[in-house]
Amino acid sequence: MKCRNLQSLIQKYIDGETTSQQNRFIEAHLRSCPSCRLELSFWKEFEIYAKEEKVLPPSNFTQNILQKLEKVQAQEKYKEPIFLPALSLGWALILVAAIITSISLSASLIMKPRASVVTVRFKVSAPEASSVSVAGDFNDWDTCTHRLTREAGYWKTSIRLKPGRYHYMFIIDGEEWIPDPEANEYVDNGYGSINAVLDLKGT
Amino acid sequence: MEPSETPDDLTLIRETLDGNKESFGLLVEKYKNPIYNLCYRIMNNRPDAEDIAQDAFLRAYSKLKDFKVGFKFLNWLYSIAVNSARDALRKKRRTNFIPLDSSPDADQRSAEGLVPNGAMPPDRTLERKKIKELVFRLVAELPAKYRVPLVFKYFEGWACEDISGLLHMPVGTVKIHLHRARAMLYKKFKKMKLSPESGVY
Repeated sequence: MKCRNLQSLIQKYIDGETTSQQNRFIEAHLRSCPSCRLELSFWKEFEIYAKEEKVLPPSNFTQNILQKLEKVQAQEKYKEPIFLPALSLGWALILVAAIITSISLSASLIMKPRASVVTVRFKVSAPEASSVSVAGDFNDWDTCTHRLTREAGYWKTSIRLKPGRYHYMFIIDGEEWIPDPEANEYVDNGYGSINAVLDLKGT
Repeated sequence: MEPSETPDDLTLIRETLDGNKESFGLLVEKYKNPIYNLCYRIMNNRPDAEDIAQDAFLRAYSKLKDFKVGFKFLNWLYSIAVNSARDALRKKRRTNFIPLDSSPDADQRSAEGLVPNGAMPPDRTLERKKIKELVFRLVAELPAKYRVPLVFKYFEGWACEDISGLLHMPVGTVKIHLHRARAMLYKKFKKMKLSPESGVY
């Protein structure tokens, strides 16, 4: 049991973060405890392993990237960006307004077809929020991966998505889930509220 | 060894934004090694590492205008690469496929002899190589959320404060995740070392 408590101390000891008093205590313990000695040497070895082995990219790595860039840009040249204004649904806005009174929201999606992937721009107004993220089918409803950044009074982010149907929600301050008030479509999510739906057609 | 932030980066970024792809090529050339190495440590196999590293550079290209002067370009690339890798890992988890570089007999590999307790094993170099492979494989088996900080701490030599900034999580959380990563890794290692297949018994 004594060793269990020592574990995090031993890590600090390896990292050189312990005081000299702690060091004397740890070193005394190490002298009498083979299993902690073993663990210490494991971590010392591990540090060496981790530092000594660098894996290098293939020699044509840079070239491949530049080729891909050329390809993407060649495709883009022949496609004019299309602006699809979000259809606002009166009833949804009223519903949202009823749920959230303190935050004013407006969101829009701008879709730019690009080969098989579409750039979707999420935009929402939430002046009192300190963080906004978007979660949906495209990120496994992970609230941490796609954060919006504050820009000129709005929260914005762009996500590249394959054509398809996605349910999604905005998350305000990590806890309040709200559907995009200007989504084209909504569905009942079975948990007592509605999800916004994004339907991306292929090009 | 570590590429440092020089006015050159900013010049190259400006030139890239002006449409000069050669300049972007120079940026890729300059940072491909650390980025690829990181991707390899997170993905643990070459094809995925290459995909993720490429994807990271392509993403960086498309949002280069968002790069903020004053930040280290490499750190910005790191954060893009980490996000790329996380996306890929999530997809993989969904398809329930765990790629590993190790050969089929990896499970039978012995973990003995890591610590020079007693006699030196007959072939220390070979033995060491085997243990190293085993340890790297165990690292790859850790859940991504614990593996990523561990990779930055040990493989890239980052301080917890820097990892915290990169992963957008409090330093305390980084430390807890690191602690769990180490506890899990060492537990797995001990188990492997004592398992019947390891040949110790």
